[in-house]
Amino acid sequence: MTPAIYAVWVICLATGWCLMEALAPSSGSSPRWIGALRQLALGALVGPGLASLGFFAMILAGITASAKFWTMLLVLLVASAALLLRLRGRRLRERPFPRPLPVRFPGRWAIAFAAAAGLGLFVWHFWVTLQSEPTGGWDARGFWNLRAAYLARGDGLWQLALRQNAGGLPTDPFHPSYPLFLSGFVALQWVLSPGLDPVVPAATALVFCLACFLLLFTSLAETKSIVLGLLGGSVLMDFRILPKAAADQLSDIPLALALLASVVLLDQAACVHVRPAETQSDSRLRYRWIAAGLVLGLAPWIKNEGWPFVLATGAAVYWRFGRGAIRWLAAGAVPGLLGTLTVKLLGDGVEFFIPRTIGDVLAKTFDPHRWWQILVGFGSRVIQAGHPWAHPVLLLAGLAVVLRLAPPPDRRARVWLCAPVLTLMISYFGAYLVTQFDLAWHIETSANRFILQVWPSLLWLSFSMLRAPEDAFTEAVSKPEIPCEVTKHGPAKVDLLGADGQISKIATDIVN
Amino acid sequence: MPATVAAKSLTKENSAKAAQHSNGINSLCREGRRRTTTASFFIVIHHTSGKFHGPVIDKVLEGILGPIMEALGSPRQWAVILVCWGVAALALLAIGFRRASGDGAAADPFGTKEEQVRFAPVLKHFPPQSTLGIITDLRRNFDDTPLMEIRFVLAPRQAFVVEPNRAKPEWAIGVFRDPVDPIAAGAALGYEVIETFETGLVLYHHHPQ
Repeated sequence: MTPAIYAVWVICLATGWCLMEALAPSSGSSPRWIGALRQLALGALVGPGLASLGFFAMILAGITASAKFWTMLLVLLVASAALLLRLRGRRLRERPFPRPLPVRFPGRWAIAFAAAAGLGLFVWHFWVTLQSEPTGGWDARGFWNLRAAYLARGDGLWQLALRQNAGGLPTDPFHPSYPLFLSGFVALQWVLSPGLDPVVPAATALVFCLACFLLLFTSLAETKSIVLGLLGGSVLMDFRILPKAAADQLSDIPLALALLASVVLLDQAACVHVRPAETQSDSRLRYRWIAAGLVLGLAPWIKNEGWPFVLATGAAVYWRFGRGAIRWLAAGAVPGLLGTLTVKLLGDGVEFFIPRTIGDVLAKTFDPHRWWQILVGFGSRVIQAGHPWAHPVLLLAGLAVVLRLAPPPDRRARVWLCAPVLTLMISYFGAYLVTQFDLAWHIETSANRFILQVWPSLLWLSFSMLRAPEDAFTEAVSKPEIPCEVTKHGPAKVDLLGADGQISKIATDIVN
Repeated sequence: MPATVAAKSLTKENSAKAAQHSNGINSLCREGRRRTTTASFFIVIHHTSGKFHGPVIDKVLEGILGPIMEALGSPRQWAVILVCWGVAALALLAIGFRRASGDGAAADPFGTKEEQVRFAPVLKHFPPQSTLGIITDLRRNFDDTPLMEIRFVLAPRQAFVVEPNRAKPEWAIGVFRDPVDPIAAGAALGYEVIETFETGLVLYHHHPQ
């Protein structure tokens, strides 16, 4: 790693942080360091995303000089910082969401220690796996990093990454229709540093993976509780294929991060949208939808699987929040969608798995054996996702039983976020159903990665539907079933059912 | 009126209601889990054994059992604490166990490192912007994995398999799995052998007609 690569990362993280802090500041109901870390995790997606889009646009324009790429990065940083300064000055002081009283969970330090130790072990596992395959997995060598190397050639021959022919000669590409988020960002770092250092894509993969943990932890800590955030991060690290997938330098982890970030920001925008008018301003709400759209638009720029997620999210937002919300969401998604559509228009790619005839599609769709094979394939991958004695699903179920579900209003407010994730899973199912490849081989080589893409989002949705562990110690404040009020004199005034009123009196006296 | 005295006067009916609503009492106190836990406890104590002791025993019980109850909290609270600790510990153990069992650490399964070493003497002659053909017998049974490794090692140079009906770059590298006559293999595609490397690679040159 050269100083230039560190500089690229610092600029990109700062750009993403400023942009997210400007458009989607944290709610103010959690400690400041949690909000800052959340913005950093979001910035780890947004900064590289915008940098890769800018890099691709410049390559298309025939620009290959390193100095101009540095200029592009600095312009992005300055523009983001200027936006932050402008919006921060005008921003209303946001009223925190109603939350239970801050009660320290007994032994919180032990859970924090376990999560930190787990993170250390995870990074060690990643490092050891990387030593065996320093150039990444099959997919990384076959197209992600290969196309990055082509984009970093220095002669602007971008056709090598996207077309069957470049310079009048064949290219024999793999998956030329795949978008260029990861390849573009790795290529940008390679262009700005000497040689094609294999550490660059490895470090990039690790940063995206760590950002995924960080975003899950901080967003749950912000909306629920720190302990629940720590537990969410631990359960995510428990996912068996994650270190191998990170060391393989695949695009599935950035996509998982983009889906998770979309869900988090959509939830935040929706929360502000439904709050009383006197606590919000139109401009602030608009920026939150733009932030969600910006992250959402990066999903198809990372992988084609982002398309169904984007379309389903657009439909869900329109259905639930109307035209105003979808307009700003779409405005935010413009950069990512524009870059992706450009790749589709310029590239020669037609995915090989798509059948050629309608008859073939229908025959495969109505074959019950294929349905069963896909269900068994997905099921077995989910079972293999963890050790039987510490399977992530079992850990989640244990927590759900003990912590209990969140109050119905909380759950109802978030249930619509399940629609895009479920649509994405259904689209996976449909792709397997009609694939031209051997179905067993296709499931064997890709089902794990599909589960990996949606797993952080599913975890976030599941954890957000639970009560916080601290609630077991503060239910006194929020339990609505027993009508009560706390008088200004201190003692609780109780409306108990005792016919003679004695119980109420006793209770009041005892509390006194 | 002291709580202990008042509690003694409870009938069975309304003391049942007291038990039913002791949780309600818990939920009332903004600052005081401890005090309400003690309160609930003493309501039950008075209900079950109020006939047998007087204020002195009350004081003793309050002194001994009160702090214990306060320290223990409710069973649900303990269940929450234990399950949260358990989930964190199990996740940590699973991550550690996964590493100790060598999960996912197969050493260079596609031989990329070997290919990088093998191609290094050839590649030093060609700048990154060059174009190279590949003359090979590796493409078979729809398995492009060996070719993919070679293209990755050659990157960022443009590289493609030379075939009779395709364009022919000036330079090509011969990579063969089976025993093949490299001169004949090149000649069939219009190439002549320039150099044969110890690593088994062959460097070809093509003269455009």
